[in-house]
This record gives sequence, structure tokens and C-alpha cells, in this order.
Amino acid sequence: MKKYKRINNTMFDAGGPLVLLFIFGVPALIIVLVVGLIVLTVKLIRTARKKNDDEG
Amino acid sequence: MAGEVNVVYRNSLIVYTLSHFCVDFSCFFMLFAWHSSGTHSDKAATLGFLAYNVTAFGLQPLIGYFCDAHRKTPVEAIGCFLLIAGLFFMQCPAASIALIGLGNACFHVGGGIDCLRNAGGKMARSGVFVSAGALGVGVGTLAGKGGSLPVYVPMGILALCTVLIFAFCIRHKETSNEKAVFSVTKPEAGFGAIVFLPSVSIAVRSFAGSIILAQAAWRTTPAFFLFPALGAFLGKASGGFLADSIGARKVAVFSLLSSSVLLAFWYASPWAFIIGIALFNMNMPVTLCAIASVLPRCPGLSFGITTLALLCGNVPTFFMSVANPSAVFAVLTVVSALCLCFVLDGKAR
Repeated sequence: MKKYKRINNTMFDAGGPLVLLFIFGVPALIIVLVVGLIVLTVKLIRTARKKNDDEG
Repeated sequence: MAGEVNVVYRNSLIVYTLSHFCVDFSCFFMLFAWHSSGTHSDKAATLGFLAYNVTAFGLQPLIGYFCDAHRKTPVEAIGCFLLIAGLFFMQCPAASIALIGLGNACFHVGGGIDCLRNAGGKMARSGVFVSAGALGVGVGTLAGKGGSLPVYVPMGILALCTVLIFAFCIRHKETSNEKAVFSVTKPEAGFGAIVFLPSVSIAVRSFAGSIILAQAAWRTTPAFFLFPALGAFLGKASGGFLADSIGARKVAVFSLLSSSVLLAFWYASPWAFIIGIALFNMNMPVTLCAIASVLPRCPGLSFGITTLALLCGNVPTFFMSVANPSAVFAVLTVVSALCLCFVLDGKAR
């Protein structure tokens, strides 16, 4: 059951942007993409900061 | 030995700056040649430009982070190859836009890393490197709209750039500095503020710049078409030198405030506009070096953060129009100056 739940969640995650595209059109997809890039970049900044602090 | 190293750094700056012009020229040549062909709807054209912006600006933090971890990657040469491939596939716009967007992102990251690592704490180098792009955009747009330039010309120029990059830049990567060290920010400013406030300033500036540019109706006349690009080129190139000599805060704040007055009230005059745009662009090397100062081992990521901020300011202009552009521009420019005022140091280098 747990396995199926995980697969379903993954399928939804992958299809989420497509669903948005069909419902709200291109602007929503672009906004999701840009927000995703911002979130990813913030994570990278945190990792880079830690690495910078560790290496001095 | 030191003199030899300086010559290497000077040569790499010349090659990267010339290549930057050629890369942006090729990208906008492709985009406007496609746009002028009339084979698509206005909606498709908007989507194409938006897709290019998201790919070219949005992917730079990820590519930059990868290149910081893998220093020897010849990412700028890969970028040129991707651009040549993008021009080769011009008949298939979707593939072409994806390839030129990715190629542009790769090249900018490679050049950006070099201009930050080998700057010796000065902001001038990054200003010189980035300035050439503005001219490339302007001339590329003109060439693309004209429709008479054969596609193999930009392809040949890019191939030449790739050779020059391999000859003068790639082989010196191993000897370039490991860290990009700058002291542009106030010692008491925290890490979060130094990354966040310049990024907000860039995003706000990107949005404000787009709305005021749309107001300048004269820019469609052939005689003045290159004025905005020329202004941006002069501003970016001189901003770094000025910031090094009189201090980052003075340049960033005074240039933004004076440009807000010039552009908000006299945008109808091409001559006032070119001075205003030059002043408006002067803080670009300052914001880049401010962010790079807190991530010395990650110049690629620092460069990428600034381009992502540019994208964040640019995307809304595709979906919305502003009721009173001059007033909004003036307010946003003051907000942008305030953001920088809180984190920048006033000392000259």
C-alpha cells in the first residue's frame, strides 16, 4: 500500500506542472518553473555557504 | 612571473568580452530572425522569448554551482558549441530556442567565473565582461530583423570564439585563483542580507528597466535604435571602474537616484535616455561583486544568483502592464537604491 502511495505521489509531482498548464495556461507553468528554480537556488546557496564556512 | 600572469588575465578578459558580444549577438539574431519570419502567432513569439529567458537566465545558478565543483569543465566552450547547434537547427524553433538558451547560460557562467576569480578584488573586470552583452543584444536584434545576414556568419563567429577561448582561457583555468575575494559590503551586514538585498535590487531594476524602455517610443526609429544598448554598455563598463575608485555605495546609490529622475521625466529625449540608462546600469558590477563577496569559493553560483534575480524581474513584464510607468519606475528605482544602501560599503578600493 505504502509503495503504491509513493508511486501515486511521484506521478502527481511529475504531472503537476502539466495539470497547471492545462488549467491555468502558460503563465502558471512559467511561475511554477521560476519558483522551483528559486527554491533550488536557495538550497544551493545554503550548501555553498556551509562548504565555504567549512573550508575557511 | 606576476607580469606574465597579468597578461594571461588581460588576454582572457579580452577574449571573454569579445565572445560575450558574439554570443548575445547570435542569440538575438536567431530570436529576431525567427520573430521577423512571420511564420508564427504573436502568442507563440511571446512564449518563445519567455522560454529563452527562463532557460538562459534561470539555469545559470545550477550550471554555476556545477562548475564551481568541477573547475576544469570548459563550460564556456560547451556554450559556444550549443549556440552553433542552435543556429544550425533554426528551422525547428523550439529546439533552437532551447539550445541557444542553454548555450547562452553555459557561456555566461564560464565567463562570469573567470571575471570574478581573476578580478583581484576589483569590480571593473566584471563590468567590462558584462557590458559587451548589451551591445551584442542591440546589434543582434538589428541583424535578425534585417533578415539579410546569412546564418553561417554568426556560426562562423562563434566557431572563432570557441578557438580563441580554448587558446587563451581554458588552458589557464588551472592557474586561475581559487577564490573570488571582494570587500564591497559592510562588515556588519549578515550573509542573508548580502545575498537577498542585492538580488531584490536587481529584480526590481530588471522590472523597472523593462517598463521604462517600453515608454521610449523613439527607439524604433533606425537612428536611435542602438541608443538603449549603447547606454547600457557604457554604464556597465564604467560602473566597475567608478566603484573601484570612489566606492561602491556612492556609485550604486547616486547613479540609481539620478537615473530615476532622468528616465522618469525625460524618457522622451533619446539623449537624456542614453545618459539615464548608463547611470541605471552602473551598479551591475557592484551587485554582482557584493553577492560574490560572501560566496568566495562559488563564483559560478554568485553569477547565477544575479541572473535568476534578473529573470524574476523580467517575467512579470510578459504578463502584466503598468498603469503609470514613469511613477512606478521612479519608486522602484528608489527601492532598488535603498536595498543597496543597507549592505554596501563606502570605501574605495
